[in-house]
Amino acid sequence: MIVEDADNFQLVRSVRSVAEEEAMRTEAAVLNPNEPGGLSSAERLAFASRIARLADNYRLADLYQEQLEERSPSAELLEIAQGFAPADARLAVLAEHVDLITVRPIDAAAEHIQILQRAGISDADIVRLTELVSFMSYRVRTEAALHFLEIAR
Amino acid sequence: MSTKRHAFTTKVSDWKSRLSLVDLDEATAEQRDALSVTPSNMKVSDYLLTLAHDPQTLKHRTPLFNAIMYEKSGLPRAERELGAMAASFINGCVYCMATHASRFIALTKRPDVVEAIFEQGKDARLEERMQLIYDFAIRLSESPIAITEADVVKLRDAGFSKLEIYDLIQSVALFGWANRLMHSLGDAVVD
Repeated sequence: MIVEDADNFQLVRSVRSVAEEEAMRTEAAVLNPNEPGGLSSAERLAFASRIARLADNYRLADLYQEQLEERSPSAELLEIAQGFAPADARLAVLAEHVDLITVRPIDAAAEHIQILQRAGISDADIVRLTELVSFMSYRVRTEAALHFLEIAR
Repeated sequence: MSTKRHAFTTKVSDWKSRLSLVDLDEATAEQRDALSVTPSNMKVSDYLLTLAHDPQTLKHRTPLFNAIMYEKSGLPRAERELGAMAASFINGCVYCMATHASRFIALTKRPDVVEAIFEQGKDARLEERMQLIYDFAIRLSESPIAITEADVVKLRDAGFSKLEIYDLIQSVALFGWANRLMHSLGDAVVD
């Protein structure tokens, strides 16, 4: 493949359209899946907003929060989105795990999976939650760094 | 950072899931479909049978992974693997590190680079071009907002095209994702 102008940002994005499109489809799969399992779309959007906030990405944090607000969320989900610790036991366990995998993935250990399982979270929901957190970690990095690639000479 | 706790090696034989695996005999059509997109179909790995609990995500993750790591032109494949190694170091993914260090060595015949990373970690001293890639990848892995325009300009001044930098950002961010899955959902089995 010959890229005519490898320094033209818009051309670069079109050359890499497969990655760009599959990333968008993955975002839909983690936020608004056909089969949400035990994690509702509102919960997923609350966690996505929380993760973006942990990454100091307020544009994405606000975007996901707006999408959350369209779903008439509970006050507790809005608090999760804002980064607060929820009172509900199940949501608190989920939020703690989200924070751990977002900020200190190196410290993730078998005991953290056991905490989720003991709180009644199914293995399928643990995978769904981990994909959401892991994808968002990808999303906040590409979003922030590609912005500077676009504006740099 | 506790490098002792995460002793990196190229000798990793397997990955053991901390969760139940999807049983192929009982898998839904969607799960089977998501699993069939994978590159090597001889035996479905425990890792993929774990991720198959969320088939819609897996279905798009696999082609995304292949596009970022293997699409032609832009950043050479070995340098995408170097970015993957830097992310795996920061995120402590022993299995990812072993896999991608081995691929790097196979592509470059440069085990000395891998040894420098294992021994010196994020402060590894490498030759100029590799150093620029590695330092950028370490910074982006440590924090999603560490990279600024100055970091991009540094690579541009060294002759990197925007396509190459794009590929570097994508491969490092992709491993931020892959490391979090593999390191939190299972254990590397070291030889």
